[in-house]
Amino acid sequence: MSAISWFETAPSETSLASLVDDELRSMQTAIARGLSESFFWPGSGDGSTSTDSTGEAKLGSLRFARAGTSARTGGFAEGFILLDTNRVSLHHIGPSNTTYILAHASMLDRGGGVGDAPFTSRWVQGGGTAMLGTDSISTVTFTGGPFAGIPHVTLLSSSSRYLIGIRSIRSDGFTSVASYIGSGAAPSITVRFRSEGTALIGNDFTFTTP
Amino acid sequence: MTRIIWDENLPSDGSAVGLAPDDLQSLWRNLGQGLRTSLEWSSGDLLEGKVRTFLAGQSSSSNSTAKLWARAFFASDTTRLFVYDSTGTYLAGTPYVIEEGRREVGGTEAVWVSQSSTTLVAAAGAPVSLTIPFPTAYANILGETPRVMQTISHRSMTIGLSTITRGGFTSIFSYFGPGSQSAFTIHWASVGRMTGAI
Repeated sequence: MSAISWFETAPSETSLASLVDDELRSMQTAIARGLSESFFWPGSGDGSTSTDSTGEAKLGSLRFARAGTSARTGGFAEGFILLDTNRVSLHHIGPSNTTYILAHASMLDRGGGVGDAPFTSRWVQGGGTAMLGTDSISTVTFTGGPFAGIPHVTLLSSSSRYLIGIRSIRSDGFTSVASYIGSGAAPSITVRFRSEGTALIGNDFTFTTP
Repeated sequence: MTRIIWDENLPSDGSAVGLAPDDLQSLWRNLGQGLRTSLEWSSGDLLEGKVRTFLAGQSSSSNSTAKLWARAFFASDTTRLFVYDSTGTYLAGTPYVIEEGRREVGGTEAVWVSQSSTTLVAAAGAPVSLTIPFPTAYANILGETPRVMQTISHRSMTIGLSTITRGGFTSIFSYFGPGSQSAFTIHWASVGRMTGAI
């Protein structure tokens, strides 16, 4: 990249009229060279065809604000996207104390599974608790959704005196089985479940804790 | 989009002084036309949506110079957005990210974090419960607790989950095999929110 020659003192009040044409041409060259770093520009901006001399932004012209973590709460105006160089992550700088994290380098990438562009679904995981009937088959329905296909579901019992399993899984829930193997009357049993699958964007869940 | 008329040969050495106003007006006009394409030319602000990421196949991604830091690269073949920094190239977005289904309220700088490990339970004393701490405690956001799943290595035992807190969880187990209880391993995984992780 060549440096921009920029002389704000030319033409001077004592410039000869015969020199002004040189100075104006020099100014145009400098402007074109400077703008062409980020925009398609003709002349010294290297543009030569109608498609690369329009003033449109070039590929790669998007550049985030860049600073350490402290800049999340100061240093850039509202609306900037900050690249936090301490913990590599992107943040939207909003009004005071409303800076949101947008993305970070440790995001879990499922590597596929949501088809091709335009993408209309996303991966979702969630879970909750359900009270099962003792020694019986119970149906659990997810709140919200449903998943776009059959999700993966895992179950965990609140008691170590039960054998539990999954009989079937649907896009909107699952059917579990439980057998009491303790002595005496069977106590109630609560299971914690975790489900993971793809769902259409807009099909939100209201999974609860845990 | 109109091509900018940009003649760096004008005014020429032979231009009459009287042509200078026309030449200058032309320069202003064409400069403004070009700049208005991407900038709000009353203030110089960038127009919305006027900057672009790099765009190419992922193998073309290259973070070679300081000039590229804080710029973004969209891999057209893998639909992933990367950001360049001085220490490397990092994932910034993808359709394949998994999303937590719990309502996202509060904790604006919190991220969902998964922690998993194995815990060996000794045979001595034939314990029936064990509290396992998380390597890092989860955040106190709206009183929520993390999600925990666990599996046991022993085929003659059953396992349950008694309690979960932000700092750990308590497993309970029953031995129903012959002889005495032996050592076993609990494989566990948890998901919750942290505020200092990112």
